[in-house]
Amino acid sequence: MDVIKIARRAYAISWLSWLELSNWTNPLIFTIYVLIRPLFTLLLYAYIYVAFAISSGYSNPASAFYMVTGISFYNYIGSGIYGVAWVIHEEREHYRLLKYNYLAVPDLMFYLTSRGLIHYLIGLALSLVTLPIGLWLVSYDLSSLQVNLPLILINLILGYLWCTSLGIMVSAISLFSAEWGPLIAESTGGLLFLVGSVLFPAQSLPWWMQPLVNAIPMREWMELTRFALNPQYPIRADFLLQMEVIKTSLYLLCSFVFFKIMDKLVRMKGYLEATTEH
Amino acid sequence: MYSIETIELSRTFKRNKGRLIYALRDVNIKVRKGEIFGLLGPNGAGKTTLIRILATLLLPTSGKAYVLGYDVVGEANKVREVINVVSGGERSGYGIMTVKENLWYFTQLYGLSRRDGWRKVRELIELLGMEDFADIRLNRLSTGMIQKYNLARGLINDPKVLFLDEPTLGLDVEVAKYIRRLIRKLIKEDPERTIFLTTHYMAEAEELCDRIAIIHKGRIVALGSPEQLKKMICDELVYKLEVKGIYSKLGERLKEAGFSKAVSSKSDITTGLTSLRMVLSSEEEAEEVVKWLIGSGYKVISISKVEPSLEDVFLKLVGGKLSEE
Amino acid sequence: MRSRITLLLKVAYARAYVRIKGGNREPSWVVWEILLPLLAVASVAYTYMILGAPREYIGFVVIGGAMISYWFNVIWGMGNALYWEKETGNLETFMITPAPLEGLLLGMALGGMFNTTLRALSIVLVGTMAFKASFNPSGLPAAFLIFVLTMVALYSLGMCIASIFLMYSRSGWRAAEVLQEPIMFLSGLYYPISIFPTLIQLLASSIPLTIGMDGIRRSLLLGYNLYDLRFHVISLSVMIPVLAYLAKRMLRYMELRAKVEGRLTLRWM
Repeated sequence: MDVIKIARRAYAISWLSWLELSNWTNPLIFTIYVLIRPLFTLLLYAYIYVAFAISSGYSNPASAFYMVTGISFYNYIGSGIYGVAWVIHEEREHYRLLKYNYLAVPDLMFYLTSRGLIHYLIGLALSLVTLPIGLWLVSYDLSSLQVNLPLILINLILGYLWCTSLGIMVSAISLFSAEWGPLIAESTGGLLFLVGSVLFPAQSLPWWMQPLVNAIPMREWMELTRFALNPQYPIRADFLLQMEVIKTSLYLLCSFVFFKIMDKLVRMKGYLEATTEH
Repeated sequence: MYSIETIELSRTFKRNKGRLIYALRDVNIKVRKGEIFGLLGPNGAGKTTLIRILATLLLPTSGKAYVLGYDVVGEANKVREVINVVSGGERSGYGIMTVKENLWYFTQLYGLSRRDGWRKVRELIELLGMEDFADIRLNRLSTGMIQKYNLARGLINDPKVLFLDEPTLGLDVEVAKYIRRLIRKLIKEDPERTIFLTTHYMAEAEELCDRIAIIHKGRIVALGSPEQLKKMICDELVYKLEVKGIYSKLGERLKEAGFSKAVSSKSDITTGLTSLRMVLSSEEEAEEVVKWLIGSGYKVISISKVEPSLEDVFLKLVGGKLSEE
Repeated sequence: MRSRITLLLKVAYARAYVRIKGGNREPSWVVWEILLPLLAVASVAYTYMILGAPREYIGFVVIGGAMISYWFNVIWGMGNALYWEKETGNLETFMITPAPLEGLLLGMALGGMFNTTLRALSIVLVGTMAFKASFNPSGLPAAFLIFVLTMVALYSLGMCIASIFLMYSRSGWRAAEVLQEPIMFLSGLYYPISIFPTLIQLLASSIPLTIGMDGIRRSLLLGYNLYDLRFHVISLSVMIPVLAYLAKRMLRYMELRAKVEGRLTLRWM
């Protein structure tokens, strides 16, 4: 395996992603563009707490911490999953280049993984920017934070792996749909938001949704992130970390097999270059 | 070993109500290394489907296909390393990036080092004469410039088999000529390279190709060098007739009247004439045609015997001109 | 004049037909278009339930979720329409016909509205059944009037946005993305805007969606009648001609500028 060649490809693909995201304007406007959405998303959801909880006397720092960390760190996963899952639609429908990229890289999965990288980095930066703002907004005592950097790093890597694997599986589905690619990408993000213990504990969802909650490592990821920021956060970190590692490994394997099957099937059906034009 | 080999290659598509459409039917072709091989056929004949299968973008329904000995189904990755595809009428790059940036991006996808990548970009810009627009974004380029870029991108990995799908489609005469010259140069420079070309333009195929396959409704109906193909009608005579007036259906009427099936007609409103091209078996048959035309009230201006061309082979095999299909 | 209106309506019908027919060609659309957009609404509804909020809050979320679908349709189905027509090369073909551009936009909007309405209805239905949101049926006539006025105002605003897309396709696309969350926040998607500071309330009131959402909530959740909602009706009725006039002027101006600068047929992808 030629590691340098792989790294070179990954760099070029990430560079493309970066240009695609940013070369329409100057750096200042781009920074504002990148910041506005997550900041308003933070306001949108934090206000649920600010407006309702505080005004009704339900001031609870633990809830505030829960919601703000959830919204902030969702940026990492949300941006990453969208960055990966949107690629098929974008390359095929917008740029009409899916076939040329398909021919030029040894593996489309590798292409998707590399295209997502920059989105994770931007997502991480946004998480780090929105976290203090959000905590300030809900008047959370910042001194109670004790960051466990190694755990954060491990969790970020695991998050990248399982989330990208999920993105690859979603992309494999969107290979078959010229029309619904964007909705599939957005909906996956929405699903993670709902079942991933972002705003509220996923255990509160109805029983019939619990298999889905358990099937996705998002809950473990979110809870471990909170624990890595505040060691007082009451969870069984060791157990959750083990579960996340196991699920991530399974996701890697499943995404590989699933994508290979779908790749073959899509060429069988002749949908690789299908576009909508309406 | 052949550069391209297909064995009983077929591909069907399901259309409305489960109806099967045969895009390719039992295609058998063998393309040698160093050849410019042309695939000629009207729209929907199966040309692009064949290229898509050979380029690993589509799987065949049945049969086998090999590129440089690699199975296009089982060894797709190996095939992709040695081929490239250039399609006319498309833009194979990102409109938001310049010609240089796009080319460099693709050099990296093909695994070239940073330095080699930039060297390759410079080489290709020089080869294609793109110096004037190398720093312009793709969305600002004219059709001719885009096609030059497309060709440059197609040469990034020095492909041993280059698929050119209608490479001069929609281009002006000068650019089309330039591209045809380049295609010949590519083969001259590397005799191991093979070019598989599909085209609508008969003259282009005749000028460029060592061998030509004519495809119609998914089947290969003839295969050989332009000379061999022309010999297919050496026992027959080709006539050109001019009739006064605009009669768009005249060719069909002649076919209905029982004359040769190989008739093409073209009306020109500027001259007010309808030209016919017919492949006939004898001079007597030509006389019959003229008699029939006069008897039916048409005014025949001229009739002349012409040298058979590849167009007439196509006319005889398919029953119409390429553009009429 | 009459023939021009007839042509506009014909164009709108034809474009809507393409949108609906094409959009629903894949049977999976039911899943993606209807079920999955419920996810965000469900997330917030659960949050309120866990925080122990009164039932009205769930109603706020459900109505907000349904109404915001139309805003998305305005941005992506209408504003984005011209950009997409341009990218696919259809705009060029369209512009050389005598058909009015407004007809094309109206058609895209109406076509998109079909699926959007299904999405909105499914949010209301699921919200009512799963989250036990309750509505006051006596408020329906007032809610309907406010809904219609809001839509006319909103789609006029959509035409203004479309004109920006016509000129600045890629930047326009990014601008539309950037507008999404601020409008969600300012329109009071998940809570009444009365919780905002006065200045933000004033700013928010300039968006037709905010007034529409508030009016419909008051009618369907609190049982307000038309008289109680007269200020909502008046505000929207004033906004409509202003926005419609602005849309027409902007569309013409941007079309002219796009032609002068050669951007009318410039694809960025």
